[in-house]
Amino acid sequence: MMLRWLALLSLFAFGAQAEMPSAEETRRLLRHGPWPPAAAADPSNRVSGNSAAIDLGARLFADPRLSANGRIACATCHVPERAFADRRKVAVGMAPVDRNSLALFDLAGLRWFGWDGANDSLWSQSLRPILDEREMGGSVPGLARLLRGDGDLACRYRRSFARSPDAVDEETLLVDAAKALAAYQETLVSGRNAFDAYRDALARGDGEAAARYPAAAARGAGLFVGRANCAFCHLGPRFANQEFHDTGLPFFIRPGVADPGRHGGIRKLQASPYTLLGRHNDDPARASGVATRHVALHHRNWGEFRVPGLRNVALTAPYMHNGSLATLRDVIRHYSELDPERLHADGEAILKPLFLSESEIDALVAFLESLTDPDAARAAIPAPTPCLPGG
Amino acid sequence: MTRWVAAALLASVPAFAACPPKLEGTRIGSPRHEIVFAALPAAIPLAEPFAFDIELCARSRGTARLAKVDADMPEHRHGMNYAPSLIDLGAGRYRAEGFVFHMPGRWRLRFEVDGEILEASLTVE
Repeated sequence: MMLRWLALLSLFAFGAQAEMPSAEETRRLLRHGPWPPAAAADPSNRVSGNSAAIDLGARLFADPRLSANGRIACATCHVPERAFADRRKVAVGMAPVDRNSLALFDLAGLRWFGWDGANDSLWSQSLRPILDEREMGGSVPGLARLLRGDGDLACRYRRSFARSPDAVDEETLLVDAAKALAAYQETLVSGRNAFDAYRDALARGDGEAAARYPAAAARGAGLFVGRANCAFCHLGPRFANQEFHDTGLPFFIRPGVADPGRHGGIRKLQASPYTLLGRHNDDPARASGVATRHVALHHRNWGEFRVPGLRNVALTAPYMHNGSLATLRDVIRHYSELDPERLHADGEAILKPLFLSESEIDALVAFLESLTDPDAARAAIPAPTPCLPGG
Repeated sequence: MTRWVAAALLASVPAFAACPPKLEGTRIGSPRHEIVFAALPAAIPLAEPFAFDIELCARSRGTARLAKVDADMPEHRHGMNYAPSLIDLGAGRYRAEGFVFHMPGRWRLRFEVDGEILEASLTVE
C-alpha cells in the first residue's frame, strides 16, 4: 500500500516537473518580462507625462469635430472597450482604408508607428489620421478654429502648454494637439496577465506559482520560444522587435493596386516635416532621431509590415496588416502552412512552414490568449476634469 | 613658406594610431591592419539603437582609413534595416552610430579598410 502511494506521488511529481520548462526554455521565457516597463517621458514631446496634456489628449481623442464631417473621432476606429481597435477587417473613417486598425496599448517608447512605420514618434503618428482624407479628413485651419473657438478646449490647451491657442500659428496648434493626443495614448499600458505571473514565478524559481499557469499555455509558450521560433520577431516584454518583415501575405489590395508597406513608409517618413529630425522635436539634442537618421531604404522593404506587439492580441481580431486572418488560429495556421514562394526572392530567409500539429496550434492559441490583461476589455476614456475659462 | 607647406601636408594626411590600438575591446586583425571595437553600451541591446567605438591602425608604416562598417546575419540572409554612419575622431579613432540588431543570434560585423574587409562575429540575445 505504502509502495503504491510512493509510486503515485512520484508519478505526480514527475508529471508536474514534465510541465515545467527546461532551463533553456526558461532562459528564453524570462526575456519576455518583466512587465510593466518603467514609465519614461518622450523627450521629443514636452508635454509627455503632463497631466493637463493627458486630459486634453483624452478629450481630443473622443472628439469627432476633428474630422471633416464631424462624425469621426480617433475613438471611432480605436474603440476603448475593443482594446482600442475596431474588430473590422480594415478601418472605416471618412471612407474605407486599406489596413487594419492597430490596437493602441503600449505605444510609449516605440521606434516606429503604424503598419509601415511612416512616423517615428507617437505625436507625428497622431497627427496623420486627422489630415488623411480617408480617415478623418480634417484640416490645419479647421483644427485651429476648434482649439481657439471652443472655450473648454482652449482652457485645456492653455493649461497644457502655458499659452493661449491664439498666441501660436495654426501648424504649431496642429502639432501641439498631436502631442496632447500622444500624451494621452502613452497612458494606455497593458496590465499584467497570466503569462506575466508565470514568467515571474519562473524568475523566482517558484514552481508552485508557475504550476498555476494552464498546461496548454505553458506548452504554447515553450513552442513560441522554441520550435515555432515566434520569438525571433515577437521578442522582449512587448513581444515585438519594432521592425518590419515580409509575412507572405499578398501585396495586392485590389487588382492592380499593391500596398508598398515599409517601402512606402520610409519614403513618407523621409518626405515628412514632422519627424524627429525636424523643428517640432522638443529634444534639442535630437538624440531620439538616431533611427530616423540612419534608416535605410531597400527593395526588400516592399510589402514588409511592422511586427505588432502581442499583449492583448486575443482582443484585437481580425489580424495582419490587411485584417485578412479572422482568428489567432488562422494566423498560426498561416505560419504553419506558409508558402515560401510567396516570400521575397531577395528577402530574408527566416520564415519556413512550421507543420504544427492541431494540438500544437491549440497550445499556441492558449499561450496567446494568456497574454490578455483581464481589465483591457473594460478600458474607457477618463472623465474630464473641470477646466474653468481663463484657467 | 616651407613650414606652411609642411603644415598643409600634415593636415591632408589622415591621422593614424600606432599599433597596437589602445582602445579596450574586441581585437581583430589581418597582416595589414588591426582593429579594436567596443559597443556603446557595452551590452548590445537587442532591437535598440547602439554604437561602436573603433580604433584602427596599420601594422606596416603608413596610414589606414576606415571606409565603412556594417553588419548582417548570414544565416538569415539579411542585413540591418539601418545604414550606420562613421564619425572620424582622428588618430585612428572612429564612432560608428546607427546600429540596430533586430533579431537574436549571430551577427557578422564587417569593417572596410582600404579595400580590405575585416570581419568579426557577435552573438546577441
